[in-house]
Amino acid sequence: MKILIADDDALMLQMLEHTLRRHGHEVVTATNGRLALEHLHNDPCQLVISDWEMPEMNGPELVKAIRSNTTGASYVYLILLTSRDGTNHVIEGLTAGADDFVTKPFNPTELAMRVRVAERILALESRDLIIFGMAKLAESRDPDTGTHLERVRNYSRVLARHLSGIPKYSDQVDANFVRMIYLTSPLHDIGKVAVPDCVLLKPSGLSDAEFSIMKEHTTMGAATLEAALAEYPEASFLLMAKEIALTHHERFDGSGYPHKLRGEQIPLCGRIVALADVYDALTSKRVYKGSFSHAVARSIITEGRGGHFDPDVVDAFVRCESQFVDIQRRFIEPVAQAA
Amino acid sequence: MASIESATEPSGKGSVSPIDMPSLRARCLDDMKFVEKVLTMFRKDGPAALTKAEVALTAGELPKVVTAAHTLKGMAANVSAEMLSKEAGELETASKSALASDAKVALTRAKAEMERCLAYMLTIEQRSR
Repeated sequence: MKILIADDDALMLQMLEHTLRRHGHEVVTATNGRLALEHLHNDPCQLVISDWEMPEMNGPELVKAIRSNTTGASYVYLILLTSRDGTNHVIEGLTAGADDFVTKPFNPTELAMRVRVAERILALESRDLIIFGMAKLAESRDPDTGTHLERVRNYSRVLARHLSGIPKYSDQVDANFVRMIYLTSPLHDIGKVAVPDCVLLKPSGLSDAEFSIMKEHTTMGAATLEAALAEYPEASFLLMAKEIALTHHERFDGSGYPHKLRGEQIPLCGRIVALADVYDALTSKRVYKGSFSHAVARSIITEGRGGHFDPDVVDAFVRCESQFVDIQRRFIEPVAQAA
Repeated sequence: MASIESATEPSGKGSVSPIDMPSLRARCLDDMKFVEKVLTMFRKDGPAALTKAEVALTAGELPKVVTAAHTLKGMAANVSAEMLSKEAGELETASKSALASDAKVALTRAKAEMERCLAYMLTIEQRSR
């Protein structure tokens, strides 16, 4: 990654640059805080390592200046490099907005590790932005959905959390699973981007041919995420996102689509989002139907226990139904303004 | 180059090398060319920082002594000249506390330690010829 280092000591700059380049990073340098700020303005980068004591603009002043700049598109991770120690200085640096500290003379291995931490944190930001952006893209193609994505991710999290407490799922559903399903479930309909408006926005019932096209949103979404996964195999969130996109219309009895998977052939994340998505569709107004009450939706879902839905997921839903009602109230559809 | 690679032991009997070469090598990720480059920079910039501190101390400008001593402290630490870094740190502290007489003592010690460092680097250079 590209790293900007700011230090007035030429020797220190050389040693930092040498270490960082040897670890595969691109390095740009500045000899004081003001020059670093100018550089950042002209050529943004997401990681800055700055000395504390510098002429013209010192490290904490540089950190404050970067943090007060609201025009930057991305978060800038800031490491202060200092020979100072003691709680007061740490507090001063953190108050200014620094993320981390490295003490001089720096240990090359420690510096490399701290840069790795910075990369991980910045990657989390990138991941969340990608997911959010892709989900919003899908949502923009389907004006009826409104706060649908927010509700589905919250319903999915409630179900996953409940299943994590059941011994049968304790190996599979851990805190990471719960976090991942919350993050990735908004991508379940990403494939709708590829469905033509005449089908996607049709207010009345779909013909068989149109329904066939509509069903392709599962495979189209999965193919898109699979392509991203092939490029970034370490991005594990894409795997769950792909499974959800592909399988959230499968049914437990094998009557769903696109592959008529049955029972545990359907990944657990797909079985969870299937229920969350249907519950939300039932309790929300759509172009082709009004909204059902929670009681009606509950009845339809429990009737689908073992048919449409995984019995364990339905049981989790029944146990957590008050949370579903709360979420539905919290993320209510905005009322359309009269013209 | 060979001399730097072999300069891993204390320079004299019973004395500790003014520059900890194994530590410097590790800090340079065993890149011996870079070790040479760093020492060349230090030989130019280190004495210059010390001279700045001395001139400022003679003029009674203690804030300038603090700045120069701080720079020298960091520079010396970077090349693993630990004793010189410590002496420069004492010069910085004494100057910050406006203790001019203590600063003079610290400066004398720092100069002596700088001489040791320069002599050590010269020895290494001569060995490589």
